[in-house]
Amino acid sequence: MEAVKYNLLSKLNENVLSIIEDNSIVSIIDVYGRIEYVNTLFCDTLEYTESELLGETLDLLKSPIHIEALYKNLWKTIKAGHKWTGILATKKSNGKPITLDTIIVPMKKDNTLMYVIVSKDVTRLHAEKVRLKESDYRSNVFLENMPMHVFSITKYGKILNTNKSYCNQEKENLIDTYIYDHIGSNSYDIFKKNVDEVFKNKISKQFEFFDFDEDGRKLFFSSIISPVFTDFGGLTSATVCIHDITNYKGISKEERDREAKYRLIYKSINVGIIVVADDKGKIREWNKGAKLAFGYSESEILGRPLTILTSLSYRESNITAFVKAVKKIKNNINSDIIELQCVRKNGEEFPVEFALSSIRVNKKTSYCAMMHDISKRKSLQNKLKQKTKDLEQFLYRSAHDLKAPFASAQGLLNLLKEEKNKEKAQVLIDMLSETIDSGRVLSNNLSEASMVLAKNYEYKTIDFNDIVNDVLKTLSNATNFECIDFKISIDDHKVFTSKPKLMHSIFQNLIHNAIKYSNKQTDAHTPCIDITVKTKIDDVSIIVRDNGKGINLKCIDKIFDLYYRSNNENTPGNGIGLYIVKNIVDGLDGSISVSSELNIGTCFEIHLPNY
Amino acid sequence: MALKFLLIDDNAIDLFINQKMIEKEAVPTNIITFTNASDAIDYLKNLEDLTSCHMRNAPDVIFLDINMPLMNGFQFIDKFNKLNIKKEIPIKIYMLSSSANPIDLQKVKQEKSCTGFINKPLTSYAINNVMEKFRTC
Repeated sequence: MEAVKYNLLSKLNENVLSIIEDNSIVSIIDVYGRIEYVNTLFCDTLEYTESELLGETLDLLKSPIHIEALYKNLWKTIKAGHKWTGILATKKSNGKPITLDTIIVPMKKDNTLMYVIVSKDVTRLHAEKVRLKESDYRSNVFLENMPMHVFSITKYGKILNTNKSYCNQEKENLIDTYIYDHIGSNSYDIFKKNVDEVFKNKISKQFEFFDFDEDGRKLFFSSIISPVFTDFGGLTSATVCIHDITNYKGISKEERDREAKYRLIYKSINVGIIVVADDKGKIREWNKGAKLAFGYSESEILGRPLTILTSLSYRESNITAFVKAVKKIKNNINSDIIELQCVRKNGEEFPVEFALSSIRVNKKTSYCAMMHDISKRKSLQNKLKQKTKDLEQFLYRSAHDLKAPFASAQGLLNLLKEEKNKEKAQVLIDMLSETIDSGRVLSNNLSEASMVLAKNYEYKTIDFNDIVNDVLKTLSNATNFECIDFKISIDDHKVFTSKPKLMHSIFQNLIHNAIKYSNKQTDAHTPCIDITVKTKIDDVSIIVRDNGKGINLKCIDKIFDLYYRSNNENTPGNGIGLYIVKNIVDGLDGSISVSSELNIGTCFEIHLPNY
Repeated sequence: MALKFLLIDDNAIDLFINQKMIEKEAVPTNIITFTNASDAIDYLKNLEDLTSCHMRNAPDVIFLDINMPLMNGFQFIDKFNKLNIKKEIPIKIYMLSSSANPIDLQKVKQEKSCTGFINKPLTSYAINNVMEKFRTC
């Protein structure tokens, strides 16, 4: 059985070999490329005799038609013992070119390496392919050189094919995108309308539109859209042809350059906000400044109503102001600059100065709104107003309050002059001394207030223990002082740097207030004042808490105002202390808060940044 | 007939001075003092609720300080204008202040229920001027 199979196989091998021999161009070469064997078909195809070839080098493997790299690669491959396939070209004996699809297989026989080369004549096919390639190239060049852009699109505007790149997009990148993505927002409407009509009415449409190039130059285009019918009369695509007709539009180059210049200027202005709206109040133009100020990109905002930019809470008054401005313009009166409250995309509100002008182009009225963000100016203005108010109040009250002790003293003196009774005179003198005292305290406080405004103090490490002790010492003469239980907790391990004089002033005023508004000691009540200081790396918290009279809730907002006094129980006070504290805290970028309950006590909490 | 005075001033010393000056010039006299304007309003309100004989205790003249904490002179007048007592008894209100601030003076002038403005300190001359008005009418 085995023998039969063996024979059969070798017989089959022989048969196969002979088939290949008869039908393929076969040659065998040795390691050096010399021909050892050629079959009949080889000789017939290349028109050589066997004797002419044997022992010679095979032209096929060194033909000058191909570049050197191909042969290097070929020899490298087969020397390494791998099979090589490829198209090779050579010449027949009569000089005619011939192209062979070739397989080279390395083979070992008796320890010597040789190569079997099986080829197939593909001259005709190859020539055809080359011809096809050339014609394809020619038609591509033809399409690309066409002075117009041609697209094949679906009814949704999806690009199925195109003849060349458009708007700096390569052909490949254009396919499968939507044609509307490549057309300026100015012309979107007209383009879409025409495409829709072509697909709906199955007719060709011709129209013109414009766009801007990257330099801002206005370009005009003529476009034809034609439906493309399938063999069954269906309509699945349309051909769009776009032709740049800018040069024929009757606009000179200078004019176009000028327009481009203005457009670029307008687009790039980022200080002023410029918005152009049509007569229906829809936004049509949007510059860089507007984008920066409002946060909307051009594509987001175009076509939306102008009112979207104004603050909701002010919308009604904004619209009234707007309508008024439009009316003025219609009557050829220059509209005034109005202030509006606007709103950003993120909801933030900001004030603008708003000037409106109208433009009339092609019988259509547009309105150009020029806006200027005035948040900074506004906040400065408000600050200034507050300061002016403070100052006015200061002057008004100072004029009064400074005079008051003098008037009292004068009154007392008038009485004193006519008082014969010595004891009664002594009472008047005591009163006089008290009056003068309060006048002195007032002027001291006033000079302290002005000291706070002078900012040229040096920063130093603050020793809170020192300050608190010093303050308590100076206040030790105050009424009720000796009854008060002071609880002092100071943790200033973390070094805190600030202005010592101002720190002193804060403690002086807060502790003085706490003493002034303490209740008398009784069996049931011990007046006490907690002073807590804790320093951290970035800030310090100062808490002064008392269990005294407390502040009426109605007045608590006003206690930091200049000359405001919420007490009425003959407590000496001139309404400057907390004003000073508040000013110091604000000046150091800190914060102060107060909580209080009548007859329970008051707590002031201050946070100051570590300098 | 003893003139009845009502004095309102947050400064006890001024109150004392005014009281003494009035006592010196006008005899016999009846003086009630308040350091707190809202207490004075309460006092006047209380008079309304009582019988007419108590109404006789109503003051003829109010000396009112302008600058006071919690309720200042002008706030007092606002409250006072809403009282019924004002309709029944003519009460003359004089505002007192140590500064003749033009804005305050203007406000005093515009205030119909306010008869006049007196600069502090209160002098015999000013008191006599006030009493002159009562003698003539």
